Amino acid sequence: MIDDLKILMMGASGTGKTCYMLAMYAAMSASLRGFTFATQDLDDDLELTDRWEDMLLQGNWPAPNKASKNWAFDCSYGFRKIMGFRWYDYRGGVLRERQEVEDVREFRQKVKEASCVILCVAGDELAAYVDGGSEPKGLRQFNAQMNEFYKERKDVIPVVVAITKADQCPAEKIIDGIEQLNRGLLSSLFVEGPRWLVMFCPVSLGLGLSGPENPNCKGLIKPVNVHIPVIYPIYFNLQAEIDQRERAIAEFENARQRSQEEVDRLEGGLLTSIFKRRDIRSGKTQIDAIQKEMKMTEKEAEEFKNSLKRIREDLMADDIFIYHNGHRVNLKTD
Amino acid sequence: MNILMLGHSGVGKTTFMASMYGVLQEPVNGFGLHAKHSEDHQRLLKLFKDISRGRYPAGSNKRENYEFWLQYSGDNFFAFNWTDYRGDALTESTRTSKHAQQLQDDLRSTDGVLAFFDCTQLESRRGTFPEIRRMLMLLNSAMQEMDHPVPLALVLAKADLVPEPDDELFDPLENLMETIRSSKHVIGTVIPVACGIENLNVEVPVLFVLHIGIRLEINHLIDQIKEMAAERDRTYARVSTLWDWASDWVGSKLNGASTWGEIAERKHRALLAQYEDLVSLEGPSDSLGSYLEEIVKLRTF
Repeated sequence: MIDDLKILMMGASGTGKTCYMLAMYAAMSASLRGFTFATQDLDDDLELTDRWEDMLLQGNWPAPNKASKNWAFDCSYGFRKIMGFRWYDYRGGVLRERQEVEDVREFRQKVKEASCVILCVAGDELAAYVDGGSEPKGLRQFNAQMNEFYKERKDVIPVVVAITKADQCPAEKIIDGIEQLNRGLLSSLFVEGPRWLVMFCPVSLGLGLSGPENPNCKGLIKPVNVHIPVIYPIYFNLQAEIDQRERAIAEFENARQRSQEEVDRLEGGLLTSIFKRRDIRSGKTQIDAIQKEMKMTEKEAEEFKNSLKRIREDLMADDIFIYHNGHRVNLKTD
Repeated sequence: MNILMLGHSGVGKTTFMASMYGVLQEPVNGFGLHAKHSEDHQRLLKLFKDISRGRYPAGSNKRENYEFWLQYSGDNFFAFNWTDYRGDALTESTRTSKHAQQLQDDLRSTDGVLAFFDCTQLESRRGTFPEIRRMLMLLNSAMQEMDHPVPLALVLAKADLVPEPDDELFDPLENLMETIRSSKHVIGTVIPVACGIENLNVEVPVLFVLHIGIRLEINHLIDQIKEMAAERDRTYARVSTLWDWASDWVGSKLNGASTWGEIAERKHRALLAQYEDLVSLEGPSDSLGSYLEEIVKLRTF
């Protein structure tokens, strides 16, 4: 079983973090190509669904988060758990407040422990930024947090920049906006060396929604791309698990060869083949055990590869921008 | 075998159950159904009679449990338990509803599920189907730990009220069906049913689920027989030489204990009894398999 992922959602107030999370859960809990997200506690599923249906059927936007909330999910394929993940949804205020506040302290600790960060940037703010307006809210604070993270962990994790309310930012402005962020505010994620993995993904709850100021969104919600940001860390986590298993398989193969050579040597000598029967038997038992473990690991790796193949396609869409170590990655060819 | 009926309020679970029981009072391809408790038998037959006259029962307001025999050629042949839930239990919190907790517990220990969907709702409503999603959640949670194949019949109730169904009828179920197809241990099928003055396929869902259950029981018996045969052979092997046999015989007689040969004989007889059980299941199971195969509308995946 793979360790639980820790996904931390960041973003300034009003960037649509909670709306996004509710939409993501609604889409993924209804299952997608055999993958299902479910809350580990089925009562939490009722709570998230009630809130989503309140938006969808009654048109009520969720109130801004006054408190932070953590959720525990499982990602399954064909009714079998692949991995679990913790989802940390913090109120936007924690980005700019001082650490005397309890949940700010907790948030900063969670940043250090995260296995993926999803940063929500509002599409309307990105469009204004491209047009020469002020920078999108929360980016500077995000940068500071990631710098701290790198200093502390000396490691990188997948970062998703979810451009929320993407319907309010035309496609060409999204491309320009990404370019500008790449060169400017988020440039530390694009320098060569640390090997940051960054994905930009426009997400939207539907066309013609102007955000919380719209008093009623009933009948207007038709989510786009909401599953992609969460598929992305799962993809790279699966890839890491496959790599780990392939390394283990190579080690098993080496160990098997060494044991086989020893057994061959003992069996090849006239005296050893008679007087070392016990060692020969134990060597053969060891080879069988290694082969058994190797087969199990190969099977696991194969299952992960199949899962990976199924979600890869979603990450290859033209409006998804993935960067590794500062360079754009094309999953079709790389 | 434990079979659980899952479906939201008003989908027609109780009606279906009584109709299934009533129809299977006359053998279908040799198979019939009999309630172990006479009060259940009387009640279900009364409901069936009413339904046949167009009078439908009110929904269940509590968890109900029935014990049945599947009969073959008039003989009791395979026992199973059947659990019916109040539909609201699906969307209640375990913090406030003991039925919701019990439903989740029962689902984890079930051997087969009949999940009900209302054809008229599938046809008339567009957009989201929260009840299907919730059912997927419950199934997903319950199936995680299961280490044996689980039959899951998707029962499309009130099929007679949708006279000309098209492929779009299945659209709301597509995600659930895809999850079942992706699963290595859930065996799914879609069965449209209708209950009332005219019945359609009402016997099929239970026979489908039981067929898989019986096949599993057969496989289990085969494994047991193999294990028993190996154990018997190991016991015989203990006295394979004349010296071993003689010393065992003398030692056992002096101590008043069974010889290894006698123990092996007993194991052999137990194995034969188990084999008879296996043979008694195989014929009806094959017959049930061929019957189900012939049902045109059965979509198994």
